[in-house]
Amino acid sequence: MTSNPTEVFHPNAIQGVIDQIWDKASAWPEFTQVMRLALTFGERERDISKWAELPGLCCQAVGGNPRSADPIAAAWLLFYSAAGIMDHVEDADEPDPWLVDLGVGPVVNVATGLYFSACLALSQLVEQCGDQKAANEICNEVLERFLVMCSGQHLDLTRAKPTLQQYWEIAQAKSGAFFTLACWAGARLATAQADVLDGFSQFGEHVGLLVQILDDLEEFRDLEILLRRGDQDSLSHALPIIYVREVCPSTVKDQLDDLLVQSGSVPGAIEKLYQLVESSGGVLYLLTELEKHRILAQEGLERAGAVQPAKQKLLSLLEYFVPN
Amino acid sequence: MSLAQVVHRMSTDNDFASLWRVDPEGALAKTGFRLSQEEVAFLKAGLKRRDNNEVRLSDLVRQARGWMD
Repeated sequence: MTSNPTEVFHPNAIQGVIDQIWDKASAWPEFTQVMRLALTFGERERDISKWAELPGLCCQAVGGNPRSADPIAAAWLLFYSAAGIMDHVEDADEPDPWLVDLGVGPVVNVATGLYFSACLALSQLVEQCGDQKAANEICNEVLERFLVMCSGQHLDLTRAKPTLQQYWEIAQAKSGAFFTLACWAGARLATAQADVLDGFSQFGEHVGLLVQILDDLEEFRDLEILLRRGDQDSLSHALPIIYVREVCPSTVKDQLDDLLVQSGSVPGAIEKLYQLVESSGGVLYLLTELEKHRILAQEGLERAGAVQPAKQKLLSLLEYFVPN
Repeated sequence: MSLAQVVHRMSTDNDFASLWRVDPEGALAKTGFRLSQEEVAFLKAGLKRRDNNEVRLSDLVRQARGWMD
């Protein structure tokens, strides 16, 4: 495979791969319409298309043709959307209008459809890829890692108040592993060199952990809504709260618990909760972790020997995580 | 999780924070905390980011949305 620096990411090309899969499988139009809605649901929440660039960019960064990674990007996007829906249902999050309209049963069925579509995208990779060994290795790795991610999700759902160490173990097994896959699989299409692949894995893992920190901060954005409906549990899994529970003396932890209960109804309690996190060093801890994972992601890319122009595009993705 | 403990100490103990500013290794040795060279570098980077921008939790929460969009 040769690199083509003029190649750019085309979200339409990824959607084209997905449409082809649905057409070939003769999925019913009524169902594909809702699956398409589910994919755009993820994009309404946040722009996930830039993350779908990862396999193509990592492939290009080792001299491969980024378009050869389209089936991987499609599979990754489908898995991401399916996992997002399942996470939404499992956490009993505030339902999005389309979820309310469909009801839980059909929504779970849509996620199932997306999972199988992702498997078919991997199967397309095996059919089309010139390097059968690489394609088979990628398929196995994706499916095996998914079992690890489900293990992480199981712990996340069953541990009421995780410790900081458990938090990072779960984050690594879920978001870390998911983004590792995107980068490793893209690079694997163009090389089998272990040290290069390790570098891309390191980059992906730390991007995934950065995304996880931002996800947790988003929980804080919806703090009032969460607490008003008595959802203290979601916050117990958010990094700033786990940090306070880990390092503060019991008097502060008791204060935290009281504020979590009061915040849904008592005016000013949310502001006090913010102050408590800040005075305990929560902001410094978050900034230190953001810096740590940004630095380690950058180091991974250097280890991998990534080449331009893809290297610059990958580095620019890290800028999203630097606070102004 | 000693990195988190050091961050907490730095945020709640002015003497420790002052000593860290002039002698990070000495501050760690005095309190019995152990951090690797790498962790010290991460903490220094976090401190620089906090002190340059005077970041508050509400800023991070607000920006989290912008980062993901």
